[in-house]
Amino acid sequence: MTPVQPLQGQVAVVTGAGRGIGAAIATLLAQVGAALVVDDLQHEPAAQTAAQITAEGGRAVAVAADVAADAGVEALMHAARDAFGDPTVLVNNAGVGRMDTPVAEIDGKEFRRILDINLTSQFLCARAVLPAMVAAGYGRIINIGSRAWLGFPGESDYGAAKGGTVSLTRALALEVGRYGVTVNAVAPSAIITPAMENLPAATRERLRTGHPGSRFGEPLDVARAVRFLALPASGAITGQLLYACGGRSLRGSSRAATQ
Amino acid sequence: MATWSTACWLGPPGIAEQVRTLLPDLAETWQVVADPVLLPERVVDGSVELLVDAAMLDHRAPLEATVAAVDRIVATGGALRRVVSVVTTAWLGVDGDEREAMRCAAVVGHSRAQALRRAASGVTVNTIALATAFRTAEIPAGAPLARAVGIADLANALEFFADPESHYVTGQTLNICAGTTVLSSMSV
Repeated sequence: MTPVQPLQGQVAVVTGAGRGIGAAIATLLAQVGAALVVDDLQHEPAAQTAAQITAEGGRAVAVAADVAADAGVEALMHAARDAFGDPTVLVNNAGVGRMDTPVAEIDGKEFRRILDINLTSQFLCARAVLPAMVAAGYGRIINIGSRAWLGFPGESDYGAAKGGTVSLTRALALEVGRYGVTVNAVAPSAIITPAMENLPAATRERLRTGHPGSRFGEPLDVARAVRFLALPASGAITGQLLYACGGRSLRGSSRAATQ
Repeated sequence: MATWSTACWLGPPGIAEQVRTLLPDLAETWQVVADPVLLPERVVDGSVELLVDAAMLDHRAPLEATVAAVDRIVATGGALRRVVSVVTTAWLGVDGDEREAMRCAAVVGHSRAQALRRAASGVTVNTIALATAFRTAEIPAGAPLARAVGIADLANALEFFADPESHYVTGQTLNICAGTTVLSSMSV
């Protein structure tokens, strides 16, 4: 007899799940029983992740929606309910990274764009799933942050957005905890993703050696932390930030931080 | 098939027994040491793969001796891969019990330093901080989640940190508190 999976009967929405960290999260959640709503800005990557899940025997639907926009979030949640019902797990992963951009080179429009994609999307998606979670008395929201929220030169826009993720997570945790909904965040450091491969070699090396173990993480390292927080058994954990950073966030000196 | 061959538990044997019952596949054999001062030689023979330091859950456990015992096991542990310390959320500060706050905060600082020291060798060192109310199984005062924190919550987090696949998570302190620590400036 096949044992009951911990997320059996649950519906998980993962944004930005066409590739990289989001795809790994969607795949792992499907492996523990959830029906997956795989969102990405573009249809093709989302469809690939969904196809991989169904090929492994899971249930998944691909949705192309821009979660930085109200209309996109509305379309995503409508598609989710049509396919599987109300989401019980939301993973706000969609985002865009930025590095090495001095503050003088970031104009107001670009700053707002980074906040919209990384932070406003998380607010909009959480707001969309919460009524049903509150009514059901159960829910798991996991926001993907970044250790960049601690502050890093050249990342004032991205770091501010991810700092917003931390604050959003904590405020929501306090607000909806009474309804049995937990809200937590996972903060990766440098993870090997397609986006990372486009970085200059010198930047990659600086990032790698900045980790105490001198190695990058992989998307699955983040996905495992998300899976843990998504479990029904993790119901006493809320408002927390769990780093999947290989120890990158531990040193207490500015010399190490800016290396 | 157990995840680890040999695990060592420092701290209250009663809690160890409950955790072992909840996680029967975590380790084949457990060496339970109630008093870190009396660390047996068999614990420092290098065979321990998973070390759980829950000594601070016993109010009477001596801090210095516990830290020394952990250091000794880590230093001699050729097989060691995972260290998980267990404290209470008193590490963030607690009204009326400076000693408990100091003991728990010391373990958190020690764990972070050990995590840095051991990162290159693949040993992860993390801390679980349980709501102080876990001892009475009561809902923590002012908890956003209206639920108690218990040994099952400890076991769930221990299973995650002890997992061989959790190799990229180190130096972390996870508050399991039903949300009571969120208003602390030190809880992120």
